[in-house]
Amino acid sequence: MGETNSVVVDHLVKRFGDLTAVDDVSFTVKSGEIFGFLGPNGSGKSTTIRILCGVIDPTDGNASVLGYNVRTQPEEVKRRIGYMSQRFSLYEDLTVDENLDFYAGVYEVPPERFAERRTYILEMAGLVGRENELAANLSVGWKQRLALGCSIVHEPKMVFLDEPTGGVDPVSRRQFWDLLYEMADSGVTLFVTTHYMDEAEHCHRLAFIYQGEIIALGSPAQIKADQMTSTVIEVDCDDCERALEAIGRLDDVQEAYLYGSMVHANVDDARKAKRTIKEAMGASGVGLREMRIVEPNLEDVFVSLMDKMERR
Amino acid sequence: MWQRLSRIIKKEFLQLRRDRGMLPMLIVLPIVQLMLFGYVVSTDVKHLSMAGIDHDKSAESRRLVASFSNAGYFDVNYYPDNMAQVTKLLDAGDAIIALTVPNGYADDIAAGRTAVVQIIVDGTESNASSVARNYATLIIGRQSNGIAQAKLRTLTNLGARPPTVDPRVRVLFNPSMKSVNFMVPGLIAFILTLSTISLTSEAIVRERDQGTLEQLIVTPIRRGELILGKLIPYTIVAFVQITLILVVGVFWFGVPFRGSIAFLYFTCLLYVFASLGQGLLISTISKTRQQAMLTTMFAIFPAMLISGFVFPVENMPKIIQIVSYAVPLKYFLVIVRGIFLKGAGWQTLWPQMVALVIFSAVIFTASVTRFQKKFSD
Repeated sequence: MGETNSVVVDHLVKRFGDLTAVDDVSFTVKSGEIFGFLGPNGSGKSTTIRILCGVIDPTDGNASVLGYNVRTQPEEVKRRIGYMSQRFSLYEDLTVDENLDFYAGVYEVPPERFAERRTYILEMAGLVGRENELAANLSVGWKQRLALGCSIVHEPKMVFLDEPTGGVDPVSRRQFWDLLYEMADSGVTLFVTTHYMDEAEHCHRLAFIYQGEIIALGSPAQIKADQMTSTVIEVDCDDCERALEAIGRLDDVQEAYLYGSMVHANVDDARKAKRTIKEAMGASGVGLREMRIVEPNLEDVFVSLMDKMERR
Repeated sequence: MWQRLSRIIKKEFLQLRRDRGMLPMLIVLPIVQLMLFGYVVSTDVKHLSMAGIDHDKSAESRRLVASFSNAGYFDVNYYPDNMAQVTKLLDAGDAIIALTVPNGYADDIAAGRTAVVQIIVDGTESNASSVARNYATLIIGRQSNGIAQAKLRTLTNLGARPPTVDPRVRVLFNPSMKSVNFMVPGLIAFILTLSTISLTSEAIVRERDQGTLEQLIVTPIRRGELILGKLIPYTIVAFVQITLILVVGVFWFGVPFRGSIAFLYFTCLLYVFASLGQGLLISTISKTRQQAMLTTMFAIFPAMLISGFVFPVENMPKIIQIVSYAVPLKYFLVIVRGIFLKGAGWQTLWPQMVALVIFSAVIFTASVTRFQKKFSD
């Protein structure tokens, strides 16, 4: 059948009173891809997910998930999707097994099938031997993987993950993303929201949502190429804080921000900007180690996009 | 649907069992309350400590003082000599009533004059003191009656009794007038209220607190299934509690049970619906568990006061009496006490039952409507 779409969003609008949380949004998610949904808090991310999960009705427009209309067939949608939130939503006073058993019952997984799923999930989450441990006693990484397990106990073809790696250590995050890749390889469509730009780079395709509108859509490489009209200069110096202040004031620099232990500056004319940055460093007495033009990463794109939006 | 429902019920029981304090609480609490109400909250007045000053020191005056101890209501523990000592006894709370027989008491009676005795009652404990005053008046009245009749007989020399009216009071339904008989059925109603409202009021809020409600909402669980799955376990718990109180009340306190057990359980079910509905409503309007707990307390305490659980509704101000019609506990108290003590059946209790059904219907509709599965933020 070739490529099909798991999610089709068509001119979706959601208003709460005077506030327009989602403003005429359209996009599609292809089956089997990891679709990253990015945006600052309050940008309409959660509202969009809730509409897609059939929890709230859109004010206008249409959306379908796995071919079912979220407005008219929410129960059909709910039966077929998995959902995992950053709160992990486990019953802390139940054991690992009891949590799995509960969600299996909720999704009406037949007992024979559940036995198989249980083995698979316990192995996947590395929880073999901890079946009778209370969820409350698990470390955050394990809780996260158990929560994922609970949300896929019924083998959904589509899983929504709302900031699934919030508050989780880097190693567990890495393991978690390995699991997501595995799932995507087996044909499951994943819809992920995240704050982490390195995670966004892992997605097949991305959408940036800002104040209820989608401002960029495409693969990470595509977005970088399309959106990044300016050049990124990376400044390595001995006092980032003061450097950031000095660079931020320059007219030639559109936006300056910390990037690790360096300062990134978005500029239009790289040669001219390099010169003024050097002068500014000298004037404020900050020791400049190195200055170079770098490939923009998603964080640079994101900052530049925000900046453009705010100026508009 | 059955699979989803049964899984929710199973989960609720598991959580109830895990909650360390909860299960013992649900069993121990009713027993402790039954013991407290059965023994401590007794409105019966017996063996009141009494002081008797006998200035007269005659056979007649000793007979009067003795008649107080003979009745069983008073223990004449102190025989002070003067008023100062009486005041001290009353101040210290050693005696709550004092009788003073003045000098010349026997002479007055012999001469056919009205003899005067003084009764002093400690009014701080208004319930006990008013009962004590009534008993004291009764005892003296009886004494006076006996003296008068003896006098009449000697005066007329007829040997026959003069005509008098002697009221023979027969107390129906609770002939021994024991307050425990009145308390135990009331306690069934009260404990049912307490545990059902507080358990259910936590039910939905706990899910919200844990973040699991957010999860359940995106699963195929329907609103009705979730609510039923929460209510069935608590109904079962409530019925275990009813049975417990029933057994202890009847076999330990010897409370008579004159009605039909099946009918009692049926009416309990009606009442459980009404109070689960209240709990559910609190649950859906509360944002946090603390809020739910406080609201529950706020709802239960006035209900307990104005329902007639301890104080008779008839004695309350008119406005409170009107408000009490909105308290389902009031109807249920009439029902349980009726079944227990009068052996009443549906023929007499149907108005209260109808009231409970109406109340349950209203409160359930309100809470289910409030608990919107499609919630917006």
